[in-house]
Amino acid sequence: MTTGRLEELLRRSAERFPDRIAVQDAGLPEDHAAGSITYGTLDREADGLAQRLIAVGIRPGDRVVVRIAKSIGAVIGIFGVLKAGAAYVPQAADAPAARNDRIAASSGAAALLTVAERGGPIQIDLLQRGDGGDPQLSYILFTSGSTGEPKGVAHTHASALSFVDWAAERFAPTADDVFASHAPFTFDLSIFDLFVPLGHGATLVLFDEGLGRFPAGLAQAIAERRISVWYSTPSTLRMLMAYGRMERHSYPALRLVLYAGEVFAANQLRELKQIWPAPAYANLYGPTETNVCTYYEVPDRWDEERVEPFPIGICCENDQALVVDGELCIRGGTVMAGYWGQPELTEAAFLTDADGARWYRTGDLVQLVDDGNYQFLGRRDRMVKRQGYRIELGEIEAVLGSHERVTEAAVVSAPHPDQGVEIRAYMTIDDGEKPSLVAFKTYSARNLPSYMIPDRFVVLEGLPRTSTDKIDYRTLEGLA
Amino acid sequence: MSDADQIRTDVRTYILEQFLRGEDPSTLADDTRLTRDGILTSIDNIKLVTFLEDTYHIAIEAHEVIGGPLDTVNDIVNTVVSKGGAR
Repeated sequence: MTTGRLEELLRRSAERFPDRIAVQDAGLPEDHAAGSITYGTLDREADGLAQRLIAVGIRPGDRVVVRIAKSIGAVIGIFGVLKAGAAYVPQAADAPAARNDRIAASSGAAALLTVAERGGPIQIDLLQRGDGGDPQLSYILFTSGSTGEPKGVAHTHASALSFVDWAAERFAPTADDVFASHAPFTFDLSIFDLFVPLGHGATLVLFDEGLGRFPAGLAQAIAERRISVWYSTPSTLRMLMAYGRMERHSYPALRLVLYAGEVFAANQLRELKQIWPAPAYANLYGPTETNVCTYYEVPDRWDEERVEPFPIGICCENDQALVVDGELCIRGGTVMAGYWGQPELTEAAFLTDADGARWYRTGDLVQLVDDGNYQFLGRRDRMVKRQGYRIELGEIEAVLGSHERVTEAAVVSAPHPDQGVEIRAYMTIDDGEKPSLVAFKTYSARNLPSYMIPDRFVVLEGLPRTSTDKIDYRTLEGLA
Repeated sequence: MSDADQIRTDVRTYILEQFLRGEDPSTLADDTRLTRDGILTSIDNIKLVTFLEDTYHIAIEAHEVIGGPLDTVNDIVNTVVSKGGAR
C-alpha cells in the first residue's frame, strides 16, 4: 500500500527546487507580479495558511471547503488545508450558492476558504466546531447524484498517491516539464494536474474556466507558455480543433497529450494528430471513485478507415479489474474510501467476492477484446458524460421538478455532433401561460452548475408512460 | 439606422435564431446575462465570438471573454463599436 501524504510532494519539490516556478496563472501576463509563484514561496504560503487553520481550531480529519476561483490562491488553499492535516472540499466560486452551501453542509466542513479578489488574502470563515476525523482523508469531490443531491467521493492520501505515483512512473515528469491544468479543481482530472507536476519540480500553468471558454486564447497560451503535457477531455480538444485557430501557432514543447472523461472518435483523434504530430497520446479511464484505473497508449498509426474509438485499455498496475455481467469492477490502490456520510450508498457501490475482497462497480459496460484491452460499450444506468462531467439526469429532474410551474419533468440525453451529448428536458406545467425558454434557463442556472443546464426545454401535454405507468424514457429519447 | 443599432439587430437576430429558436424575442432583453444566467452554453459562446469576429472583421481577445465583459447584448454592441467593427 502507498504511504505518505500529498502535501509532502510539494515540500520535497520546494527543498530541491526552491527558486523554480511552481505555478503560473495563464489568466495573467507572464511578467505580472501575481502571475506566478516559486516552489519556495508556495510551500511557505501554504505553511502559513496551515498555521492559521490550526490556530482557529481545525484538526486532522476536519473538512475545509476551498471556494476560490481557479488561481494560485486556490492552490495555496488546497495545500494549506492538507498541511493542516485536514481534507479539502473544492468548490467553484461561481457555482449556484445554494448548491455550494448544501455541499458544504453535507461534508460537515468546519471552515470555508474564500478570497475577496483574485490574488487577495485568503479568508477563513469557521462554519462549525471541527470534530476531527480520519487524518488519512485527503479530499472529497462532489459529483452529480441520481437522487437530486450531489454525492461526495472521499479519497485518502493513500488512494490519491497510488494514482499519482502510478502516473509519475508511467509518464516520467521532470522539472523541465510545463503541465497545463485545464480542468476545474472540482473535477477529478485536477488530481493529476495538481500533484503529478508539483511532486517533480515541473511548472503547472493554470487555465481558468474563462480561458477554457475561449479556444483561440487557449491555443495561443498552449504555444506561448510552452506547454509540454496536456490533459483534458476530448470535448476540449474538439473545441480547440474547431474554433482554436491552432494552425496559427507552433507547439515544439508538447510531448504528451492525455485525454479522459469521454469517448474520443478515432477520426477526430487523427485530425488532432495532424495538427500536433509530435506528442505521444494516451487515453486515461476511470470514474472519480477510482481515479484512473485503466489506460491506453494510442499507437502512432492506425487503419485510415477506423472510426470507432480506441479501447479504454488495460488495467493500471496498481489495480485489478474484473468484469461481472458485462460491468467493469475495480479493486486496488486507487479506489475511494467511500461516499462521504453515505454508508448505504457506499455499500451498494461495491460487490464483495467469495474471498471477501471489495470491488467497486463502475457502472460502465465493457468487453475484453482479443488484444487484452477493455472496450467501453455504454452505461448500465442513466448517468451521462458531458464535457467530461458526469451528470445524473435525475438531479436535473429534481431541480426542474421544484420549479413552481412544473408538475413533472423527465430528462434524457441524445448524441450531439459538437458537444458530444445534448440534454433535453421534457416537462408538464400547470395551467397558464408557458414560461419562456429564457426563464427556464435562468432558473436552471441558479440551481445547477453550467454543464448541467439542459440544451432544450420542451413542454408537453403529458409525459409518455410505459404499461406500468412509469415515464417512458425510450419514447422521449426518440423524439426529435 | 446607426452602426450600433444595426449591430444590435444583427446580434439579437443571431442569438435568437441560433440559440433560442422559437422564443418570443421580447424575452431576450439587451441586459439579459447570457452566460451567467445560462442562456448560452460554452459552445454557444464560442460560436458567438466566431460570428462577431467573422462578421465585423475584429479580433476579440481572451480577457474580453473572461470574467463576463461580453455577457449582454449591450456589452457586445459596445465592444464591437469600440473596435470599429464593420460588415
